[in-house]
Amino acid sequence: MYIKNEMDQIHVLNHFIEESMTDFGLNETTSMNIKLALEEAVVNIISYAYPGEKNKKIHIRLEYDNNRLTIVVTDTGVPFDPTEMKEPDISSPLEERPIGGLGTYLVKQLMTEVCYQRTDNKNILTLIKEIH
Amino acid sequence: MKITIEKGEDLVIRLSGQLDTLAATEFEKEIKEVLKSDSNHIILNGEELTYVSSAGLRLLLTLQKGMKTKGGTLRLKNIRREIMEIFNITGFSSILTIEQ
Repeated sequence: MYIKNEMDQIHVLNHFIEESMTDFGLNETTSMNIKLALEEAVVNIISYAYPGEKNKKIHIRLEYDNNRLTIVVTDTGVPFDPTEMKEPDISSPLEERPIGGLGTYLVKQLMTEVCYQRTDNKNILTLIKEIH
Repeated sequence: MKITIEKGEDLVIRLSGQLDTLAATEFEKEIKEVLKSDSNHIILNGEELTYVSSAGLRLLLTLQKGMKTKGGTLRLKNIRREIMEIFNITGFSSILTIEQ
């Protein structure tokens, strides 16, 4: 599916994921975790991939095979590798907690594998979840 | 996402549905009002909260920090298991006051 780089497209994306997870027969908690990881990944792309540009496309492809869910998110925006982002210190106390930096951390924690490639001027983010 | 605020002895915020990136914008407005108000003790009832994104987590942190600054308290009640899992992953379970 395609969505545009606008924040209100998150509802379209989440609806699509909910339906797909039901079709794949995944349980509620697993579905929620996958939906959350993808929302965080796509919110980053909407926020940073196309500075000042509207009506740009983000492509999302899902594949479920042999208890392995693969999600490939592709955009043609500026190079951005979320896997290189610094992880927040989740053990820091309230006073020292920065407001932010959690999105990419959640993606990495909720998925089994997260890979980034820059190919043909495209950002290709692959999220993999092994379902047990 | 539905946000209900009841003012009694404590101020009770009920969140129903999904606190995703878009719903967080609406919740942020409510939080600003709550922090400006004279309420010093807040209960956040999460009985019907089924989803929380990092934007929602950021707001819970803002609310917790804001309440601490004004000498008040924030307590979370009836948090669902799947949301607790997200709090655990992100370390929020150790910085928020969560009562079951």
